[in-house]
Amino acid sequence: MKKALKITGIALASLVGLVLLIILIACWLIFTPARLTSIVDKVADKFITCDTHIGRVNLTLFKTFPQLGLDVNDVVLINPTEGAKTDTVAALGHLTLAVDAKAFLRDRSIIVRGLDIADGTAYLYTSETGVSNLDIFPKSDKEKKESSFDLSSLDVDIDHITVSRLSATLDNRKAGLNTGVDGFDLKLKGTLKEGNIDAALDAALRSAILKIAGEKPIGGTLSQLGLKADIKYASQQSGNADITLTAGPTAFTQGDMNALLDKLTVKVAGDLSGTKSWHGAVELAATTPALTLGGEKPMAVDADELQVKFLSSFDGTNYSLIPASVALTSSNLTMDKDKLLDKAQVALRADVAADTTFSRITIGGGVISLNQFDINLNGTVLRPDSTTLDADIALNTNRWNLKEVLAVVPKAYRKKLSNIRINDGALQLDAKANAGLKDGKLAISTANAGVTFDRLNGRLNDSISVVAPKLTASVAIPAKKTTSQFKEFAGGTLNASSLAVNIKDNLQSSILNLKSTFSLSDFTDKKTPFSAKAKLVMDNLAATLDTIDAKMAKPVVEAMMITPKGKNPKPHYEATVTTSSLDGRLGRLLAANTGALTIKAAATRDATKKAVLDQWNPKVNASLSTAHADYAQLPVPVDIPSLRFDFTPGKFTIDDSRIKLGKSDFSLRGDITNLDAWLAKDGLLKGNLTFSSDYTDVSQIMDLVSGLGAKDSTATADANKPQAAFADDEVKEDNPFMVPLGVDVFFRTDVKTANWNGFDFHNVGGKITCRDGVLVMEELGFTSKAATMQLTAMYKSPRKNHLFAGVDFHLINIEIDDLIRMIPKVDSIVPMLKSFDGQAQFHFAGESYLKSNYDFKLSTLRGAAAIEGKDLVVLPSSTFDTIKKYLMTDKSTENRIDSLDVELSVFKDEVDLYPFRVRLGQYEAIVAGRHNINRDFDFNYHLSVTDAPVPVRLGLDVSGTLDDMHFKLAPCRYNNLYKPERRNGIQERTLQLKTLINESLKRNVKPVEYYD
Amino acid sequence: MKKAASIKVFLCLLLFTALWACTPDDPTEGDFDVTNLYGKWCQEGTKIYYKYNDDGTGATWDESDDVYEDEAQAFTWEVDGSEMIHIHLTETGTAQIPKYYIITFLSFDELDYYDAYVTTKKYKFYKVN
Repeated sequence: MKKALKITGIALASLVGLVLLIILIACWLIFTPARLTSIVDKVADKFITCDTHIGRVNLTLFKTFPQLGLDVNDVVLINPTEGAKTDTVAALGHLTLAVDAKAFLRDRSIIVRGLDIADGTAYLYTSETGVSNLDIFPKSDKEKKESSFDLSSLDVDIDHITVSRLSATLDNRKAGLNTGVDGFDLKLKGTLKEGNIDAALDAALRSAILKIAGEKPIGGTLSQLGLKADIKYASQQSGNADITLTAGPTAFTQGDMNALLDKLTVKVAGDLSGTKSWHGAVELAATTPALTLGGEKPMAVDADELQVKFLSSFDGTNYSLIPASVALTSSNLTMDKDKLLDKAQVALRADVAADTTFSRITIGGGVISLNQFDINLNGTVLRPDSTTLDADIALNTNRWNLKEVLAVVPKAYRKKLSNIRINDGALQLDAKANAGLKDGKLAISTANAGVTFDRLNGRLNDSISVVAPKLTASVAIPAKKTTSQFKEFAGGTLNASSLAVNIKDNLQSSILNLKSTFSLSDFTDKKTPFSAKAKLVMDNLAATLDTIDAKMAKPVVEAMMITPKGKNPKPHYEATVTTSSLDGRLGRLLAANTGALTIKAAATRDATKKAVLDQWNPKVNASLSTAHADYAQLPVPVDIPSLRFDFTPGKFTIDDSRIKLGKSDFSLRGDITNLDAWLAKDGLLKGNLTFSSDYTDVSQIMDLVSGLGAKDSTATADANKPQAAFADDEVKEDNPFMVPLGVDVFFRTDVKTANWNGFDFHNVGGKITCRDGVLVMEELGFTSKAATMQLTAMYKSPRKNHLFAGVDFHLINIEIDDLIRMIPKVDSIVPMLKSFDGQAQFHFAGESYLKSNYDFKLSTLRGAAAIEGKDLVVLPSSTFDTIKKYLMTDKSTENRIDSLDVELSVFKDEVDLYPFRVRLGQYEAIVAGRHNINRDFDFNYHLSVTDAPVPVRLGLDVSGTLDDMHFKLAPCRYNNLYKPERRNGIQERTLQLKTLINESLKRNVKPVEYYD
Repeated sequence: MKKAASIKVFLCLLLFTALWACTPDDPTEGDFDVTNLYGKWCQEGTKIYYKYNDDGTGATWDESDDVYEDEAQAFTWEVDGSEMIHIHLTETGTAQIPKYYIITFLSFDELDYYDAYVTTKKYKFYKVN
């Protein structure tokens, strides 16, 4: 049985094979290449209007088995067109068409199953007038070609389409397009049936060029292009695709833009589900991509490698890119010759999602990296309508090393930052913002930003250094705290555990535990004037400037600026500085400290005013307590128990001031006014002040302030010079006290007790005026145990080497020895006065211009004195004994004179002692003469005995110096002085002048009762 | 002893007689044209200036002491016979400081006087423009 079946099978197969062989032989005989070529030519003529050349057409079965194949060689289409480079439209070396044999045999339909094209060229030309060499189809076909295309109506089932070594050129001069491909290879396999696609594509291109003319010509070259794709798509809208694109060196230009890369790989994979959702993945890798842009600000960017990756999906309602990343390796960016990036690693990564209308976009896990610097970004962007954009963004950085930050700053900008040197430090930024953009206007709803610097150690301009272990700053919108002074928009803080700021060779400062807050008005609103407020609280503030050291404990600084609305707004400023204590030191010269110190200041600026004070209208209130100062040139410290003053543009008021200097204590109160007019040079600065004191040690204060500010060398020289005050030496340009010009200040003194040279003066009251370069102490009255006194003094400083000092001094009922002790200079002017003991009145007026070192200009010295005494005792002395001996007075003569009435004048260096009469017991004498204020005090006196128990009237000339006196008997010169009928004209005049001196000196003396 | 006393008395009488005889004459008499005094004068060999105005005021300054005319100190003056009185005025208080001179020569351009108080102190001035 088996054998029968086997034989039967072999027989049937042989029969079928024979039939097929006969068919093939029949076909070979019927469809010879010549016949087929002729048929195809005829068919081609029917469909193609241009000249066609077909080399040879073969029918093949083996090549395309099981399909029937038509093998065509050397197909050439020729369509001469004016302007075209060649008449040949296309030339195909080899074309094989596989047709479904069954379908052809069954229903005569031609169904193409395969197409192989090899070694072909094409030249598609369109002239500038629109004439194309591709117009080779009959018009009816052309119309069909231009009819609408419906994919669903197209059924394609292709076993394969292959193209090998195809070159083509498209030269469309009307469109300005010139492109060509060379070495195009293609393998395509797939089906398209009722809208369902199942295709596999493998294409390659050796090279391609593209040129498009226009305002910005486009050009491009592409080589080694490869494309592989597997696409499956069902009409139920589900499918998947897997596409890989590779390219070799590629270049693209458009106008002044150039882009190129060496190698490109693009992979796209996606799935489409039946529920209108899809997901996919895209990977792009480009080697050495580069892009340059020309123009006024040229830009160039390149990298070793560009990688773009993202996974995308659509779930029917939302699009997402999770994650999406872009990375550039070793990238460079140059803008306008400035290299902004240099071999930088740049990367962007984010999870991005959006709804179908892109009205809501969310970004999560976003990271922007530049080398080691990361910026993390998260947020949501809403676009409710085309004109509105709302964003809610959170941003923070990793820890950025400031040295490394400066290192990546582009060179162009680094030059601008060349004055900044960072030794150490890092910063970290954290920010959140919710803002909207409506019709182009930015509106910030909320924003919080914080930056932290740690181990900050930098230097600015190589001179200013800043060191802060940790410094944090934050800004919040809206401000967390509100104020009534202005509508606050933003607030913030600035805190530092310690902060040191040093200026080389100048200032060193440090702040301990700084906590500050500030708030700002809406600086984004141009219609809202800018206002700001700040408060700084410190545990400690220390500063050193040259030899100046200052330390403040618990200082608090509050400052505010408010700008009202209006056409010409006047900004208002306020500031308050308080500290619980202040320590200051000025080298070895001064050390001072205070207790609580408060300074309040306010100012309103009116730019329309010219004068500074008018412009600012400042108001200052300051107070301090328990201040203490040690001044090197003062042997005693200065204590200020309290000081309080107010300042306004028109008025400076010292509300309270108490000062203790050595044994003295005093206070100053009063007003200084007319400041604005003084500054405008329209008037004098006026002051009305009261100087009151319980106890003032004038001697000590004068000792304390004497020589203040004088140079050591000058002081030494003066100290070594005998009688320097009267020496007519060369002018020394010192730094004398210059009375301020343009001021009119009035002091009222109220000193309960003042001590001078051991004398207590009580109820020292009077006026001191400083008026436009003139300082006057006017009728200063006081009493003491020794005397009642009145003093008027004046000091002027018209120029540095021409100073003026004048006094009008009256001592009423003073003991002569006290007078000499009180005013030692009196002994120089009236040397014989020390010979008397008892009470006297002393009236003195004198004035002189002074050199800059306060030496007298002797040519200007003027003075007069009157001394009156009663019941004076002549003290025993060798001089007095010598006089008595020469005048042969009785040794038993009582050394007591009833009265003394001395007048003298000082003119330049001459002191004229006008004749005065003294009576000692039975003797009466008149003394007169002159002495000179010079180094030796040489003198020339005459003593006339006018009454004596003996009939002889002797005179005695006493001359020489105090160290070398000469006594000589002489005629009695003043015998008739007090005998009006016998005295001569000179004596008459002399007495008149003596009276003139006396009366003029006493003219303004107040009665003694005045001082009680 | 008695002899010594007698000698003493004799000497006193002799001295008394001598001194009585030496009482000086009055030098205040004189007559000068005071209008010659008006103007600016410079002391011989110095830079000391005096200026006499016709209203009895005057001013003085010493340029060697770095004082110039616009900084001069004021005085009033009067001439009576050969007496010339300068009353220097003080800016502080009411004091008046007199200086008393005796003119010995006064012409349009020369002025000589001496100090009435120390008669040996003489001054010579020349008028300057």
